[in-house]
Amino acid sequence: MIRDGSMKGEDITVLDTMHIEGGSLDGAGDPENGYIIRGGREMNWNYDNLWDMFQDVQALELPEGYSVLDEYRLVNDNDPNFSKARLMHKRGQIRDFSTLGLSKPQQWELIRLLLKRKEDLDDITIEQYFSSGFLETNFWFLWRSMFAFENWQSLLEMKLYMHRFLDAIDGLTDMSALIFPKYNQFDSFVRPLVTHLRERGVKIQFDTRVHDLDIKVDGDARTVTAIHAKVGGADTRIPVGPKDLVFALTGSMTEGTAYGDMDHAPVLARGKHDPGEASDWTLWTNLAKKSPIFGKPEKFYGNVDKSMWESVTLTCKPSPFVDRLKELSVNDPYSGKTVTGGIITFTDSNWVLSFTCNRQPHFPTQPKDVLVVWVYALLMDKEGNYVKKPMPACTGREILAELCYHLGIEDKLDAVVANTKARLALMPYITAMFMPRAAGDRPHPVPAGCTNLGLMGQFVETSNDIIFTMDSSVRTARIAVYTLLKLPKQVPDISPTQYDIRTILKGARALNNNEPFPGERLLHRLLDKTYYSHILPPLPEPDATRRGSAERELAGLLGKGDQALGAIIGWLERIRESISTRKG
Amino acid sequence: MTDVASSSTSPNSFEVETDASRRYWHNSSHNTLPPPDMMGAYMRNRPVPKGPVEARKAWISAAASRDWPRLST
Ligand SMILES: Cc1cc2nc3c(=O)[nH]c(=O)nc-3n(C[C@H](O)[C@H](O)[C@H](O)COP(=O)(O)OP(=O)(O)OC[C@H]3O[C@@H](n4cnc5c(N)ncnc54)[C@H](O)[C@@H]3O)c2cc1C
Repeated sequence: MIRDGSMKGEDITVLDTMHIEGGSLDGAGDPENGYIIRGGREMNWNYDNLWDMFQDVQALELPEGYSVLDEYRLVNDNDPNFSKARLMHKRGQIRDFSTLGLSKPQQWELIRLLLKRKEDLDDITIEQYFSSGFLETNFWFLWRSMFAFENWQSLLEMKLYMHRFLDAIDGLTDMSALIFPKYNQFDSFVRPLVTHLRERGVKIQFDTRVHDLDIKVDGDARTVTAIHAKVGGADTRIPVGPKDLVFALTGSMTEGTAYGDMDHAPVLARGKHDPGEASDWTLWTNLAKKSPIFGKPEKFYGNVDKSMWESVTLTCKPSPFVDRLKELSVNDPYSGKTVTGGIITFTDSNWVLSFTCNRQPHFPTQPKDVLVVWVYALLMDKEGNYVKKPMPACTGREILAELCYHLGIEDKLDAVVANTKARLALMPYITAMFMPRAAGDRPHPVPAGCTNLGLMGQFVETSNDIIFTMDSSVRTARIAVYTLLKLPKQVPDISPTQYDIRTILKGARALNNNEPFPGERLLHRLLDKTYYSHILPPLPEPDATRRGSAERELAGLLGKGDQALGAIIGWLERIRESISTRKG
Repeated sequence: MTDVASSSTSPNSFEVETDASRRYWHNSSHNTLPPPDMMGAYMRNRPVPKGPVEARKAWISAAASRDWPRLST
């Protein structure tokens, strides 16, 4: 609004239920009480909306004129991210994660999904589509833990993720496709952004929960005339003029978070099927009662058992856990460089437990001898392998015991507990946006006829983008702002890398467990001596044997003895010859 | 405050003039930089200089647009 819409900051007020800025992007605590982050952020180069915004926000630790994007690049351009222990099993052993481990039929399951039309996937779940064998592959463990997909969630969303991150498939196993912020996301993104906004006069009003909007309907036009909010618990009506604008979040993945610590398991305050009146979902529920253009919120918040998981932040002094962490890290955890390079997942954990240590310090004020580690699990209804309770029923001490068991250091638990603090966050709606959905379940950023109402966040419809990313939060807000301010400025669709032939070729190689995919050797015969030779992944066999390998590949594709075989090979060889001669 | 000069440690192999046709590019544990022909907002960073530029002069030998005849005159 300020940068592209020329609005004055002083005319903008942010209303928030909480008492601190940032919403899901949190980061708090201290070494005595333990730090807490409900999540960490895996990111990539193609967060075009996020970088578009943060290129213009001053970084807090760089001289005047340098942005958050500049700081981000300074960190990531000099420190590659990768993992040397992405998957583990058998209580402390690294499991081979060098390939995606997909059989040919399983590869086809993925390719068929990519080819499917979006509109044919309404309300279908991942487990309805994929074979049970597929759901046991390396690919699925890597994918589900990296993006937090549950087997019962939306196949359509999984498909959109495939398109959005097709260029990352070859960096999925070792997480080399990822980049990470310098600190936790409150310090890396929220603090600079809030400083930027306050300097421009934007007001932030806490303890204000918006629960309804008055909307005047005039023919097809819908205009918000008032906001109803509880301000400090008191009912308040905020009038909205016809030229004023309202931008509202329809829901939040961290709504209703329940907290616990070393000795207390979190206690959920939200109903399993109905979050109740005193929740941030009330606004969307009340909008949906007014018109079907506002979608169906209950499809997302209506089954907490299927949308919830828990994360744990560990504040660690040196202990046997830190010693084990060092062995699993690509750099010394205290070096300031990449540590585990993303999550480490235990594939035989009943909870599907993962943990990660990002660059340290994770908080600007963190003491030098302290490490902050993040832990999470996907399955909330299964007993642990060591602690015979589901994760939400566990104290921090018990979760630490389960983690140590999977690392093969449970005999050193006492020493670990004495030097570690755990803070727990059970989030009832953390994957609510991944719940199976159909067209019309989510409203558009500017629902039909709305003259001054924009909807943002993770529960609105976009053409091709995914959700559960910081980028989509910025995208939906941009769409709403540009539309309502009638700005002639496009919000670009997701990065076109999925259409790049190079992305498709390296993706096919990765899907085929890093072996040449069917037809790849023939493509090499065709292109190896041309300008386009660099688009193909190098072949594993030496040059001299390549012609024979290509012929065998073709015979495999067409069947031995096929008469076309000789003709095609002859044609390929003539093309190679004609391209590599100097003249025409 | 970050020590800008010492923290800017871009590897010596950093290529300003990238060449996407030179070699096969893929994700790997050595990459810190996007593909050579990457476009998008991530490329709009303002790099932090490696060393001080105060008292450093530059001369540009070229026609200045100021003296270019205006079309309207
Ligand atoms: C554990 C976790 C891991 C994540 N991992 C990644 C990742 O790896 N990569 C990535 O890109 N993204 C990740 N995300 C997602 C990313 O953090 C979110 O997409 C983003 O922060 C959501 O921002 P938002 O503005 O849409 O909503 P939120 O940040 O959820 O905004 C909610 C805020 O709005 C307020 N609010 C809501 N409704 C109302 C109301 N009616 N009245 C007043 N105030 C209201 C809430 O109090 C809260 O402050 C993760 C998130 C979590 C929680």
